[in-house]
Amino acid sequence: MIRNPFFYRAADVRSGSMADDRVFVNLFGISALGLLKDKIQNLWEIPIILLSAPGGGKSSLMRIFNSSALHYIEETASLGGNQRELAKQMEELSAFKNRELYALGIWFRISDEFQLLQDNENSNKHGLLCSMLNSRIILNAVNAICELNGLLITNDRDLSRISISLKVNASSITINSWKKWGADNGKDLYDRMANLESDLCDMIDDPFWKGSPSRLTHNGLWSLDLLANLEIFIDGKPFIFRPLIMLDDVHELSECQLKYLLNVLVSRQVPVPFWISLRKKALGLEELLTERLNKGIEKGRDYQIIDFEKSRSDFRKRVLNISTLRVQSVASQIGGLSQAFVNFLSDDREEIFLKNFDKKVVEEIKSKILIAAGNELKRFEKIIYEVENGDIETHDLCQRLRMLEILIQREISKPQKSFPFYEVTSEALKKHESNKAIIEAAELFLAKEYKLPYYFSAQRLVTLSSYNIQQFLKLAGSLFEEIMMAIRLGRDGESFISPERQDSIIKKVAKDFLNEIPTMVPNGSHVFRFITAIGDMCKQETYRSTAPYAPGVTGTALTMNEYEFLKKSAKKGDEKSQILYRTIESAVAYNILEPEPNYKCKGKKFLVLNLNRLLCVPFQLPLQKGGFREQKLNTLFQWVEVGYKKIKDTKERYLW
Amino acid sequence: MVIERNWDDAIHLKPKFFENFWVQRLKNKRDILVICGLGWDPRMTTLLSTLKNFGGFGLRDLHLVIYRPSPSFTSSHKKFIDKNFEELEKIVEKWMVKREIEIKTRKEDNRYGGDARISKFYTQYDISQYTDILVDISALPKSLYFPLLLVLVEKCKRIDRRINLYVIACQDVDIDSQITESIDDTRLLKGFEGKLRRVSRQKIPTIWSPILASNNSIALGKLFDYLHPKDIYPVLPFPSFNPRADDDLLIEYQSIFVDEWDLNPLNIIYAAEDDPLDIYRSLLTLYHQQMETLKPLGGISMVFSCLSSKISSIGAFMAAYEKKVAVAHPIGHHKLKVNKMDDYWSKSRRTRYKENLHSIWLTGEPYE
Repeated sequence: MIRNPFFYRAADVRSGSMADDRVFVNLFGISALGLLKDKIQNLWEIPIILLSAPGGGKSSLMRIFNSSALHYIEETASLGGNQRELAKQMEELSAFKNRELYALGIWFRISDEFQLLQDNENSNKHGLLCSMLNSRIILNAVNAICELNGLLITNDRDLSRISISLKVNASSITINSWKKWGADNGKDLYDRMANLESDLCDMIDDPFWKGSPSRLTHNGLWSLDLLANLEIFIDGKPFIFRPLIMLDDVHELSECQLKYLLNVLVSRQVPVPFWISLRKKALGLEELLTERLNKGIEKGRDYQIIDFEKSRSDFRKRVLNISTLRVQSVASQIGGLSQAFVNFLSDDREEIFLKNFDKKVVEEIKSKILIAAGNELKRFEKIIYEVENGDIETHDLCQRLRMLEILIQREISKPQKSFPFYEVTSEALKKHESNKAIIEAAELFLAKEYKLPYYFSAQRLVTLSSYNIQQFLKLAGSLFEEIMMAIRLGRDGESFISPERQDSIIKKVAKDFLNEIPTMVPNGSHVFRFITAIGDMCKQETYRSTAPYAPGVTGTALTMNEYEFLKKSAKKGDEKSQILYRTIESAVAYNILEPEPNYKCKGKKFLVLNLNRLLCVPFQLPLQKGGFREQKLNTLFQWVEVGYKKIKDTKERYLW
Repeated sequence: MVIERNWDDAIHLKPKFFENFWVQRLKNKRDILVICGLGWDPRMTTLLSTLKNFGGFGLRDLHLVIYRPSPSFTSSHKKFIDKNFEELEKIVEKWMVKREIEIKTRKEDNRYGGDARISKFYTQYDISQYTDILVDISALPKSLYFPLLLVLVEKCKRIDRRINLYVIACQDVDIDSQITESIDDTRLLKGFEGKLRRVSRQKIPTIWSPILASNNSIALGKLFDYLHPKDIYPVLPFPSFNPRADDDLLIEYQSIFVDEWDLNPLNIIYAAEDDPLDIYRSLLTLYHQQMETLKPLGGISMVFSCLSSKISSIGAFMAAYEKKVAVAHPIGHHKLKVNKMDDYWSKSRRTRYKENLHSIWLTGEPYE
């Protein structure tokens, strides 16, 4: 049985054994390292914050630097293929030195238990947080040292082979802490930290715990300075390394803990390379939109941000790379078929038009044009004649006629009427037809009116992923399911998916994505109602006969002033504002809405909220960005509360 | 392999024995505390109205757990919550002393904290005055009654082994299958960490056993990402009210089992849908087998997730409590998939609820 390689998630999450690391490294898309190459000058110098919605690829990018993954790359680089290329890139990124592993990657996830520490914190506000982080950093460091030196962490004798001493230039806090918690061999240090971690976990979890929290607190994150000032010997031989600490899912910390950690991070006093990953929600909507962490702190100097949703230039390359690796992982089962995923997807738009547009369609569009022109037909007779008698194929004629219909609708609906003898010229038609947005709008309108496939091809698949790897895998996996079925049944010829099937599969995935919002996202019911309202509004605006925002509207907006007002009211505790604010925050954090703050338009600044491209599908919207319809704050309150009210009369429109 | 099970001979009073047992028991003086939640579930007052009819004498206290994200929160099912409250007031009037226990389930930053709060309240609450404590879970979410039961079982054992603790659930497969829970927070419940997240134990394989019902694909995905299990042993209901329930679930979760988890079909466990003790025994057998097999690797870290009906979740609670196994749960708000609330509140339905009360005796006289 062929397993769908796009749905296989174990590779993303398991860690620990050689087998798990092998699967992970084999499926890792090398092009993701390009995100770090842009920051190569500061990679080991200043803290790095990885930022994205869930499924953006943060954990994978960290995990590839984990000591066990690096160790596997080092060991298998000589075999060629993906690993050789990875080893080469790691050398460029200075994780390898002279083809040998140099970085001691310490990667671990922050879980929700950290915030529970807060309930026991006393005067030393973050003492327990520091204590938990210190114990886990040191435990992971000892683990990594064992892995790179072929020692078994579960074997006491192996651990005892590690000798540890502290350099003299360590800070006074580190020296004092080391006196209390440190040890001169790996086993004792590991046991002390394991006991500390165990006490902390019991304190959080056991309802009947009777210990003293103050006994467990630490004065600061001294483990960072410790790692920079440790001398390690294995059986008396020095072990040289460059520590790299990677804290994943830092958004799990409480707001207060996160602020503390970020302050430590940007204090310019962190002596070791330190990366953290955050879901956007942890920064709060405000910081998320402005990317300001703290006043006086400067991006580029004190910290560096890698925003996965903004690193768009190479997204296509990254996902195609990943898709090829995934297909390759089942190469033996799919036989001699291509291993490039895109080769399975038909991209022939021309053929669809050829197949579906005949003289009957031409006549239908023509009659619509005549109705649209009405009494003013004389003004358009010349250009109608010109289009009709052009020497072109029937399917091209249909497209031209549809564009002409839009032009006539626009002319007719102009508030200031022209004289009946004022003809629309060929030049105006030419200008209209050369507008890319109009060409796209005509394609969209025709697809809707004649039920033609619109959402297909590799290019649109990448756009529909909205710069999110997990979303791409979901879409690609659903399409690959069809390919696998054909292969299972021995019908290799049918493994090439037609535009119709692609369109239908993508529509189903998109519908599921929309319907899953109430369950999947915090404040899901509100988010669902809000998104449905935006989608309905976009659909109504997009399919207006004049196509005023060609090719369509795919987002909404509110002025930055109104947004500031919303934020303040939410902070003051106004329930209505809190609901809307949290709704927007949740939707942004889960990549359901893509924000564009401070967008300048009509002399004002707006917060534009674009729909995730996959959510354009259930509302039959185009995938291009740009078109948005601004709304008053009151309208948005109404959308969250009761949804979108369809407006029949244009005079009734709630425009800003 | 000898499998030790403290609750091997636990008493599960199925509906047909429920009335007789309680009528007999209440002939003597019993000091009773009933703990129940205030919710929209039409089964909320079933136990109280039934119990009142059985009569008896002694202390009669009621703890009504009012759980909500914030005091100003208004549920979309307010109408039915109010209806339940009015009915409860009528039942307990001149019969029980009611105390409202406010549990704010969300913290200031909107994170879940209900489990820790209920756990803290009952850790500090003196239960020694009662001979019998009945926890009615019909209108309580799992995220509250798991930590609540843990604290009560532990206290009954520590304070006085003679305090009888029962957990009561009204089984209705139809309603249970229509209730869905959103997944705002996915995490280990208070008291059920089971040493799962400790870095010092990260080399020890995590074995996950989700107890399944339908409509949980998203929850399974989130739990998988949260737990990173090494191996998975899903529990399917068989025998069950709908004889095809297990097949339906296999079809529903086919893609998750095959494509996402690469699940070995031999890992699937079957346990009776309405018998918590069957779930309990099956889970403990699995625990012992895995522990035995993986002893050379340092044992296992086991974790359960109850995505099933309340009655079967009691079996998982018993196994988790006994072996200090972790329990991970997707926490959110509950709602009905279809709007059949009026039907569920009908007179015929409500009579049926009274005939479907299960009682599991967790501590006290049978274990002395």
